[in-house]
Amino acid sequence: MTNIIEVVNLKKYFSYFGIKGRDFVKAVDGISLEVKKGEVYGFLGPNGAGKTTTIRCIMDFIHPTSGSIKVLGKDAHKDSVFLKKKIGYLPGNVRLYDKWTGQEHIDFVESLRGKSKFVEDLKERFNFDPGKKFKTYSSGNKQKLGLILTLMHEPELIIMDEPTLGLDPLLQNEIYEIFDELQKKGHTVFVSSHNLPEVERICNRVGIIKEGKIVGIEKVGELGEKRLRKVTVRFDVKFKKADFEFDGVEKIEEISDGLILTVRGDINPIVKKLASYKLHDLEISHATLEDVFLEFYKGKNNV
Amino acid sequence: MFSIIWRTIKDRKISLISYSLGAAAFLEMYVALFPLFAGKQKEFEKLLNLYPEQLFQALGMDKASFNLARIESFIATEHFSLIWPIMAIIMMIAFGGAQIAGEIEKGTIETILAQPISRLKVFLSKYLAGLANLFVFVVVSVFAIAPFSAIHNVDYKIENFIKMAILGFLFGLAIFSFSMLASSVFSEKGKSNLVVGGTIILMYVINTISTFKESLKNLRYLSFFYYYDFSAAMNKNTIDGLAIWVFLGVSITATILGAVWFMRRDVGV
Repeated sequence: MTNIIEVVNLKKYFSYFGIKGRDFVKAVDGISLEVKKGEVYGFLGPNGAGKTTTIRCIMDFIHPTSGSIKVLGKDAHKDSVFLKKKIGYLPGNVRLYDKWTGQEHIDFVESLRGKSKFVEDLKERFNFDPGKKFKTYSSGNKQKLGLILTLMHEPELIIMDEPTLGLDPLLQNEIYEIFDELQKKGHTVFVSSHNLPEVERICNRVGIIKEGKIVGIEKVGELGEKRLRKVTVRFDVKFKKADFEFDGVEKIEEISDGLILTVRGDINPIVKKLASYKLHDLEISHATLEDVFLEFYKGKNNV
Repeated sequence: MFSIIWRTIKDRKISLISYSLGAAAFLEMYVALFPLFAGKQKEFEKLLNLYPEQLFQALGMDKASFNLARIESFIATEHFSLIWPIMAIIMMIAFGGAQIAGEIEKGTIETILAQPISRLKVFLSKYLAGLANLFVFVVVSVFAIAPFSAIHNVDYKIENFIKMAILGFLFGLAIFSFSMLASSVFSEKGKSNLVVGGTIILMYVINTISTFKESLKNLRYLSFFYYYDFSAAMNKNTIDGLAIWVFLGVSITATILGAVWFMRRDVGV
């Protein structure tokens, strides 16, 4: 499958005129990733991990210290103007012109990109009033305007930096639906987030970044296979904790009349073992991607 | 490019109208006052002779050509010596500072840079918008003499005002270009304005000191105010060729440096 984004050994260090003083920061430190055509790729990491810096390098807002970035097979810096025609970009915390109305923003983007066929549909869909000045919009409406400007030319590649940050659940769901539609239409989406359930909901693959380095790239489905489950069991009879100490059980915690087991991978051996007991209550829950993420981090930290 | 130029002009229209009308209002005031002073040249000559020669030099005024019987001389002394350049300086520093550094500070630059337009075109669009702003300011604030002189029945020499407009435009152009350079370097409007404003004040001080101290005389060549000879433009209808070269040279150099810096710098750190 074609690579839409190809980042190789990207490094971005911040310093004053190349002097490694106290302001020297390794924001991104040698990351490589590929985003395939038609994929929704989640770029996951905590605040300050280097997500926004990477996106800004891809968008050619800032220049890498070293490494290469190709978008749609072209150099992100040299072919920046050509690529911007193909990319819709939504910055984190949308900041537009306070004194312009929503419509003036739309007109401005149309004057640079050409007339949009989809803008009216988007306005209607978001129930967005474009006649007001940007500074008077609520944060939700500001985000809606940002999304309209990003999507109104149906770009081949959509790059979004924390698109649902600070939004209410209704608008978040609206955005998730848009992601689904974009994917069905074959658009490629690169989305950064520190919201793990969100990434799980919308992405096919996820790159996990920590302290400027990629610590893992996984398919969201495969993450599920690696997923931890929490088994909370209460017994009606006496039980032996040792009966549950076998491969795949990562942690056993005793509670009154029962156990909480943290199980990785295949759950069948546990179910078989439990079947030999008379149970009072049983609850098997999927650990969230967050648990996996934290587990992943913990593992990498120990390396 | 045109849409960025037009949007930039539109965003600054209140400022442009305020400065232009403000400067024109000052001009109207001086034209209205002129008949009260005209004809009192001898009394003023006596008064002026009480002041030291260096004071006139420091203020860029030519005592020999000071003639209250002529509107050009009166307007040069009262208006183009201080009020007009201060307004032009503040307007162009504020305009330049807002264009790149101001947009980076607000985060709006990302909206422009995410569009299919090169950084060079963004810079040039903003620069051309600034030139248009300066042009309108100069035309309104200088050529307002035509209606005001007609209202107050005062004779004036249009050619002297044309020279003054050219000199004023070149002076404003140099300051604006320098401001655009600073705006490209810094990420905060305040820092950009501070650096340019501080440099202009320093130039004014250098020009003033150089007239008092013979040993520092050559320092005046470092100051825009030495080349901004409003007295020669308004009284003698002349602009020194060196002034044209200096203003154009500074403008071209600062513009090229500003554009190159903006193209190479990180934006949105």
